[in-house]
Amino acid sequence: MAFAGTSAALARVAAPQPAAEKPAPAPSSTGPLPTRKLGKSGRAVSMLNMGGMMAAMSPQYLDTAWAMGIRYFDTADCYIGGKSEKIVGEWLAKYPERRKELFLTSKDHPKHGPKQLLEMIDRRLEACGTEYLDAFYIHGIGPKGYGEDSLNWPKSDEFKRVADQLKSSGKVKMVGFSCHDGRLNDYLAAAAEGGFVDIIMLQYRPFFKKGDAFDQALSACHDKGIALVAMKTMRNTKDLPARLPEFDKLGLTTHQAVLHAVWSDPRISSICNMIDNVVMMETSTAAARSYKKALTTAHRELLQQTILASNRHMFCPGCPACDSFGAGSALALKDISRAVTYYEQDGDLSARELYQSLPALDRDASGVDLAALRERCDYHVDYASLVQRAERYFA
Amino acid sequence: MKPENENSGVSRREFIRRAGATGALIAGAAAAGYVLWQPKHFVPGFEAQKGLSLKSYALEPAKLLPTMAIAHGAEHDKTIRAALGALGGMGRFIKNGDVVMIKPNVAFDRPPALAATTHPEALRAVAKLCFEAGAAKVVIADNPINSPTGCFLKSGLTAVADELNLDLLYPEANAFAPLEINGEILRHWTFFKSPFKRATKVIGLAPCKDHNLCHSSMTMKNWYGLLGGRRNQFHQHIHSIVSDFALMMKPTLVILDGINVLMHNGPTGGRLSDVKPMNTIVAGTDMVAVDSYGYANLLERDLAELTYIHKAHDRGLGNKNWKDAFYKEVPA
Amino acid sequence: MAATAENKTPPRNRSQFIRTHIPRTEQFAAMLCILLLAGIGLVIWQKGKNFDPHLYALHPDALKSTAEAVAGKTATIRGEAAQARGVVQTATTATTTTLDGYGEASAAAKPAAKGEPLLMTLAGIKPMGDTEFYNADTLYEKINGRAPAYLGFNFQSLRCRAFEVVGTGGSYVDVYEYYFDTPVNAFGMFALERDPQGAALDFAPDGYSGAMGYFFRQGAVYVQIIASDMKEKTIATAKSIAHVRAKALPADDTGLAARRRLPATGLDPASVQFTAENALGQEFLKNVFQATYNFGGKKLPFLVMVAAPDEAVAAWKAWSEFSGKFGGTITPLPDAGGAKIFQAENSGSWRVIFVRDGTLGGVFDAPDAAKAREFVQQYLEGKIP
Repeated sequence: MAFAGTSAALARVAAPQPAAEKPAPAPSSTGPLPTRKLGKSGRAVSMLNMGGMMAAMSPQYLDTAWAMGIRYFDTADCYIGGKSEKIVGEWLAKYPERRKELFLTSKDHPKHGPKQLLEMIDRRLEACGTEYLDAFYIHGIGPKGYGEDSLNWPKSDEFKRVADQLKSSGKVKMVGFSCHDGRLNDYLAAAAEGGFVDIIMLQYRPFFKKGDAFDQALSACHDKGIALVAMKTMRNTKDLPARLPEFDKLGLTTHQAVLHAVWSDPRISSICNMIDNVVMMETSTAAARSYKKALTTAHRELLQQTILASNRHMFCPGCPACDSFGAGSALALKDISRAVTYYEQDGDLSARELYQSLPALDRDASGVDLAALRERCDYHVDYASLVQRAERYFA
Repeated sequence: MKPENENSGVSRREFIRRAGATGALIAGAAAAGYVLWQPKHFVPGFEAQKGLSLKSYALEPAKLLPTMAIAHGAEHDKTIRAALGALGGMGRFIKNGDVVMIKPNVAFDRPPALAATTHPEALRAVAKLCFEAGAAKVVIADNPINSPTGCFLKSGLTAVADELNLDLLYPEANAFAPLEINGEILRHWTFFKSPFKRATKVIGLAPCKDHNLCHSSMTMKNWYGLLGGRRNQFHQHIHSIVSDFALMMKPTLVILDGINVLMHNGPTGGRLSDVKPMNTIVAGTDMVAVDSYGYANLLERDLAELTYIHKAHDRGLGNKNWKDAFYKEVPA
Repeated sequence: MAATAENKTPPRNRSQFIRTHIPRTEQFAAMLCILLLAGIGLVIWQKGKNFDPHLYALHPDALKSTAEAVAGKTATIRGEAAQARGVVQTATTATTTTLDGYGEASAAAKPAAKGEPLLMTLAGIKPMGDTEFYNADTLYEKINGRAPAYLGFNFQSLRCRAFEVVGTGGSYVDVYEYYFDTPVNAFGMFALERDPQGAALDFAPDGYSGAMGYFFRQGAVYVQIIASDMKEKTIATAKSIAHVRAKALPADDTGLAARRRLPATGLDPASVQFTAENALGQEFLKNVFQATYNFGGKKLPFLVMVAAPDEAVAAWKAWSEFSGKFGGTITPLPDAGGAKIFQAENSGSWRVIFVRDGTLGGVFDAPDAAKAREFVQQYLEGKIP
């Protein structure tokens, strides 16, 4: 028999050795990642947290993340078609003793107003297999999805009452919202004015001008003790050279340098990363462990210039530089850029639906001087090419 | 060399003649432009325009009779009869001599078993009840998305129409006229008017099914099949537009067929495994209430997701809290 | 010095100024302007004549699906037949078969070009209407809300036709052939809609039958054969049609080599999954097919990756190294059938991974190490067909 020898060999290995067949104890980790405080709550959380959207998401993947020191998982009702929360639930069922050390967040879409969160929380808890969430967000707040009234929610009595009720029920520790909308500054300003929002997850790029509207809005929130978590920090870095001599001297890859640039802002408590594979997880966690002090201005500028130079068809990073343009035109540059980014960088086919959900006026670039806009843009984003590609992919 | 130009006078008459000619030309051009100009053409259907109005076919509410009935049973005929019986009988709605327009959902050319269209047994049961109550004529009509002849034929409704001598009206080119709707999004639209020419009562008869774009298609969405034109653009504002349907149409009665429910891959379905027997018929005068029951109890989903129901409720077009209504639940 | 009458310039009297010579260039330009104006007027008139009052001008993209007529779809006018519109469909390749047999396979037929009618010479069926053709813009007109999912997999075209089952009093079979750009994308759409309760087909490895239909992928085509009812003759006809179409459409498994290496025995067909990159969160796992198997009462996840031999070996080594991290234990196993194998345990889950001739595969995340080894051993020995 062809494989008799093999069978015998395998059988020898397979000879009952109860001790060898029993699973080893839970792997020793390299210790939790360094932490930062979350606003006035004082809660210390991992500087790096793992998003729950990637295809690799599984209980085993969470095992690896835990082993690498990540103690903060972020998920949402709609990630991976609803499977993301269930995966977290499976993992928690395997390691119930880890729940108190984990900072777990989820999100939902209360399209009819903040008070919907009161009925949504139970579904989220059930899906995540937990009795409480450390933070519960309104997911992706913005006027298009939630209406113009939502601009007032972060300072509204209704949302405050809902937040208080959620926290007093013990089901939620912190309440907030996530935002990557063009009106982010307005939402931040409203949150600072309201003063009761505990935490905000926001699209953040470390290249804004000091003192500009975004910087001021961030400071206003920070001063009120609102915790700030950065997301979508890695946009436009796909084509970056993996290493640059200047950052080599610091012992950093370019990717790690971007993370350091974000952590250089002390107002940011944690970075939410969509970690697609183990190598990225290793690099990102190593970056968190190696962070000791802010990057110099020169290094940050070098990073910015490198991103610009590396990307002929630059994606709009969502900085506030063209907010004044945004006020005068319906063209939704940031949303169009986001859809193209998701499609080209992440291979996300649902980007088509995102694009098609935009009203036609918001997609119509006729009458807009895209070339002039490019000149004015801090990142020289090639808007003409972006709009053209969006039409080709999604129209 | 002769100078190119000479100085010579222009007489007053000449001046007036020329000025008049120029002025007449300008005025004529302006007048022609005004006549040809269609100020509202830019966004037809989405701006106010006068068109024909659709009257309400709803009856005065009967205080002592339920507005909604839920009947449980496996057979269409028995269960529909039970539901109508719980409402007080078809005689409550249909009188001698009525011309009844039954609006089925025949949007796609699917066989009945796939539950993507109104079931022929449901149509047979409702049409028979109408005749028993004294209807002089029963008309059925729909403007399908797929080929109309194919849709009516393959869904089995043509056979029922032939058997019971129903007037089956196809959406012919001259069967449409602009209808004034004044909805949230739809201000006016081209409407399949022929079936309503002599109709005195209207019954909506819809399957309960999943819909990929707007979560579900039930009695409110059924009225989509009365509109013509290029409806494919509706999906951009689908929830607002479905709630506009509740404004557009005030039927006498709606019946939601939940005997077999297309739970997934709607609106076209295609696999029998997507169909679940729920053995329920819901009939009522408030389509918002009927659809609310259908979404939560037949499709087994969270009503909070169904934006068009909340919109219709908030606009006062019906009550999503069906339990607050006077309803009856009966076995077949 | 005072101005004198001789020094003054006589005032210019504009009203007395008459041009008597118009340069040719100016005449030409004037004529051109007049002609242009006339042309513009003509265009405006023409546009106005063809104006569609239902065109929502602000959303032109939304109207793509009705911008062109769908070939084969009868218009919304009662009884209008294809002949009345002068549409003539000519036979191209056709296979003659009986109802019980499946006939000779036709020479590898090219995928239907746009407009090529769906023809079958099969006893017992008769076309109910013309073949309908849809492209990416018009697909919405056929399958409505399902269209975006198809477009997400780079759908190219659909041709479909209904066939009456003769002698059944109205039964029919619908045939839908969805063409995609690649076999992988066709597989992706097929897998997305896969019925977990479907029974495997012996004539189409990626295929299953439901109570009323046959669904399979052949090449870059996703085929749906849907019967109108469950009468024996209707279902038998649907099955015959499925056989005929499976033979007529060209086989093409480009990009699906790993799929062919997933054994059929014990396979849970609903679990078959394709991941282009970062499978299981590992950079070295690309174009991976995985599925869950029922093996000796245990559910075992199994994956396969096909690559260049040295790439497969490098991936195997990388996976072995990773498995040893974070307290994992690795046990090298003896080579078997030309394959190198390692066994590893992490956090209570076992994996047994082999590499052989450019094929990397194995059981992963298994609760039972012995079963995992046994499965891999039998797989390598060819004992799991």
